[in-house]
Amino acid sequence: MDADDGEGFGDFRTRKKNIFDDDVSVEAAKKIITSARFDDDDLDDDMEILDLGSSTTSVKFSAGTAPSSKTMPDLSSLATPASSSVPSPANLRINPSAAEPRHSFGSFQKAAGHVRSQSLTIAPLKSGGDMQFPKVNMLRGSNTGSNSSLTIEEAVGTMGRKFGSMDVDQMQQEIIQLRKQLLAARKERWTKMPVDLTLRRIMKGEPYSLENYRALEDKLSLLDKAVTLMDGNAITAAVLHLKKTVKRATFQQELMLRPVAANHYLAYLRGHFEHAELIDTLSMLGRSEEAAIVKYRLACSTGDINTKVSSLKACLRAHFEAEPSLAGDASLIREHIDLLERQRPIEDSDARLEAEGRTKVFLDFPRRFALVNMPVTTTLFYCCLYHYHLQENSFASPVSIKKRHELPERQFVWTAVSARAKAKGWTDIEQLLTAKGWFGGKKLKAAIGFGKVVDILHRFQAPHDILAKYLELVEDLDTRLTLAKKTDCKKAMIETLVKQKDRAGVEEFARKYSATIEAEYARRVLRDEAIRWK
Amino acid sequence: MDLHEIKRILKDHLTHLLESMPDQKDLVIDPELTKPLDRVAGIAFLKEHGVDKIFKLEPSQKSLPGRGKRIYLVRANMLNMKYIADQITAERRLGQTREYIVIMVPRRLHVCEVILENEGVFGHVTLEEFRLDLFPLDTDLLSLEMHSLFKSFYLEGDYTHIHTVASSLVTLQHLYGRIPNVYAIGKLSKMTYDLMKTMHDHEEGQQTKFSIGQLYIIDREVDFVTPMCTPMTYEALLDETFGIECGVIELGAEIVGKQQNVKMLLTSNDPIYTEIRDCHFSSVFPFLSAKAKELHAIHEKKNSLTSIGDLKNFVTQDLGRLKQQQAALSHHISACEHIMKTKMKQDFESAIRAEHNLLEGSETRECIAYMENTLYRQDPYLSSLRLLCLLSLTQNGLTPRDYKTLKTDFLHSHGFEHLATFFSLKKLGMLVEQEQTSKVAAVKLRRSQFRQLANKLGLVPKSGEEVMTKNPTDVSYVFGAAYAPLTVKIVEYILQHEALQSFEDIGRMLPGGIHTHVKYRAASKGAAKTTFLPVGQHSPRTVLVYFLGGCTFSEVAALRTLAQREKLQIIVATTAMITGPSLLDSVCERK
Repeated sequence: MDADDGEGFGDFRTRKKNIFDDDVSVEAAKKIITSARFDDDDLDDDMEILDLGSSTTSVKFSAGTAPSSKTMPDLSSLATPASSSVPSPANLRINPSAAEPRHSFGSFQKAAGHVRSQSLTIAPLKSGGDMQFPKVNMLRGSNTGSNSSLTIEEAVGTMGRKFGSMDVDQMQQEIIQLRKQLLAARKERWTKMPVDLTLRRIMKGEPYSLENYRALEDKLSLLDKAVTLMDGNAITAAVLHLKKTVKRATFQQELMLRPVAANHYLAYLRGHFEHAELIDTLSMLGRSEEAAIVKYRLACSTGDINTKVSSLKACLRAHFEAEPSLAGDASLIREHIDLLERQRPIEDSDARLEAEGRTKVFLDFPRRFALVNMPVTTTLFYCCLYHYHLQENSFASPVSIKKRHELPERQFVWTAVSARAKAKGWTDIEQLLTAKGWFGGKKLKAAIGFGKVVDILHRFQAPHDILAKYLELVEDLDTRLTLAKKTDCKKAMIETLVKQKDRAGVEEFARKYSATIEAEYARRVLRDEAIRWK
Repeated sequence: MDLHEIKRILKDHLTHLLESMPDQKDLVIDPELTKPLDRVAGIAFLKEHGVDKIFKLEPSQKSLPGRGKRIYLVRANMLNMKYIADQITAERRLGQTREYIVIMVPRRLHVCEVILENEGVFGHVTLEEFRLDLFPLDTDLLSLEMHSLFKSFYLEGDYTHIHTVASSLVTLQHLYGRIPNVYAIGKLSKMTYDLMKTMHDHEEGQQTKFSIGQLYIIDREVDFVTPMCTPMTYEALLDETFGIECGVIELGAEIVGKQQNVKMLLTSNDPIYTEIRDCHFSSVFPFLSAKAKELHAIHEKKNSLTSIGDLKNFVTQDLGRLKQQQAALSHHISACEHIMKTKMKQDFESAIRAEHNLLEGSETRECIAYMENTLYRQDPYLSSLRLLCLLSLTQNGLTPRDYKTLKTDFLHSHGFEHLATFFSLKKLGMLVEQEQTSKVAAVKLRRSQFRQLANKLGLVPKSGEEVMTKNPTDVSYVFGAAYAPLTVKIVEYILQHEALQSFEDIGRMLPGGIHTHVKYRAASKGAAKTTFLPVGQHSPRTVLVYFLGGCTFSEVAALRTLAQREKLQIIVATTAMITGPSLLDSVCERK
């Protein structure tokens, strides 16, 4: 029924439009009313210029680059004269025929945006226009037909070269079709085009208009067909059109039924930085976890530490605690807040101490970064380096950090050993690794394995005697030997070789390092008859 | 097949756009487009067509000096439009009037126009589009270099870029004929194929001659495992260590031991590079040292030159080539050294062992312990994340306990902000938690997915099986004979089972399945029915493999090997060249 209406009004409106368009002079309007057919033909001529170009386009290359490649040499050589005769390049669009009454139509289009004038078919149109420019001055006001015939010749020439004998029927058919297209184009401003046609135009990058879709059904059909077609640009255009023209409740209701459209709307909101609406829409769509994450991300990007803490708290209350399925993340965010609240006072006091320049540890190891916003592990390392001996009730106490964030023993040992090794606190490391035995006996124990301890100590350039002490505790002999070699602990190397009963190994050592003190030790070992070699 | 035709057409189009604004003008370019434009056109080309000054589009720049005519060449996105609008508004406020053209790449988008309209500058600009879609990076490699596609489609469900991919295929087929046989693998591939078909349907005149016989469209979602594996071929390692952008690598001054950074174009024009790019890293160094000796020998020749004629020959012919090769050689050696150094520092052996175990599905507990260690010692977060994803992908998710521990450890070591990273990876299906319903059955069922594929396609060579890394025929050499890229194996499988026409058995195991559209069959009797005709005798054996969501150099190397072995010509197209870390980084929370 809609289509019928459109058709019915078509002729009427065509005529009416022409009057409206040609409002420059009443005479012109009268002439057009009396000879409507002539007008059609006249315009059709124009269209032929345009569409012969575009027909090569459609055969060869959709982006209009193919014809441009052909017309290019002309284009570049003519570019300069064209500019001298035309006040501004914007006028490139106004081709010779448009200089006549249709001018007003041109500028009218402009109001609707270049959407209308820029298109796939416009490239050849423009090149056609350019080609004619040098002649414009001479020919202005004269019959445009001569111009167009010239272009046709050229166009046919190129087509002939490309396709040999082209079927005349086919060309005529094309003309008929183009004529139809033209009619449709002229009506389009006033009547709504079928949804499919509009979508095709969007997809091809041709001018289009959505404002004539006023019935909700039309808007939805536009949206649904865009989704089926899978042209994202059209989907976004349709969804924004819907959003702009219906009340919020209706919009949301329809969006809930259309996940793809919803995604496009959300992408638009993200790109447009409309965070509040983004979060609302996500919640409305039942995507509460995503809403919570968006809010969290927003809170995290806050620069000022105090504001950040309060926005994190707000986010926790409003989103994470409200949703039982997000309990895990909620506890992580609580950790995040606590971490920031711990870092704040430490940073304040340490920055002051460092500035005063009287605290030794800050002179020995100048702080390379501010503590606030650092991860837990980095904070632990920091506190192990600068505040290792603090009581547990202090903010900066490593043990308190370990407790609050429930850090695994292995991680704690790893970080603490590294930090103390950097500070050359060898006794701290020994204490850390000392475990109390059953009857008060003491024993060294490392959750990460002594191999890793040696690795870390070596990285921080621990002295050999310290290294040797922990090397001895590496249980696997092969690993111990590799580590001893890597850390260049010669004594440990010999001892390990002896343990392995590897006489050849010790002999080789004695040869290789004959000038060292350890070589003497190696030779003594070799003389020792108590050792049973392999 | 000459891919340079594409470049010519792009240049013509660009010329047309530049000349549409007569006289001299300034060009403001989106930083993301500088490298692609360098490959397609180059500065000299721009200058030839009236470009005077070239600026980068930067948000910090509120207004720009320069001429009264200006062209903006930018990717079509809202942010760029806002920057442009701000500049125009500011300049108008200063009383400067200019002509502006905004060229959107690869096409004009509704949202962009909305922004320009909202900002009130719509009336001051002329809008154009530059359909920069696929452009050649090498003689067998095409790319859109559109890195935003991955995040936008897979993470946000935005369809906008599908159009670009589909229309790039349409463009390609305008040049090289309609491809008769299409295999669309995965959901996005199917969508792309459908949209491409719609675009074709809108055209009149069907082309029937083809010079590309087969098209494989592969959705990255089908295979996230491959980018998560550590590459072993030289080119892939270069990409991961230094980053290859549009075929150009930049080596730091300290690496090459020079005053300034060195830029090198890596294509098959470089004879040394062509020989080593796809080699396993272990054989690159021996080759380079042999080459060095060879060059040295040629150099020595100058001492034995007796006649002036010989000397002249040497100077005119050998010397220039020698110098060039010498420079390239020394850069490659420096790059190699740097790669080795980086690998040693990162505890490479253990990382590789963990990775191989995950691929084999053995020693999982040990792997998890290793991952915890990398987190405790704060290794670069992308390498830890890569292993985590590999664990999830090969096991079809982590157990709730492992998920919780590893996630917490990760957040502790790299910042709580990564909560959002984990959310994104979950949404992508790259790092997920197993569902807790009826544990045993669920785990069994889901676990089998990657394993099933691995068994069916022989992705993981049996231990002990020798894969000749020096003269590879098995594509698994690209990952040190530990894993053959799934994407390439699917192509190989379809090639070998072409006669079946239906690959349901494999398709069932892949998200989105395989959609087959076969119109041309060389050997069949029904050939008369088809209207498709090959241009040359090689056409049916010319294959285009199009990766959606990105392709790694490991996959390119594997496909080159496959092409050589099966006597095919394979052209690789992709939406972007990626590495595992770059892929992860694009969805990671930045700090």
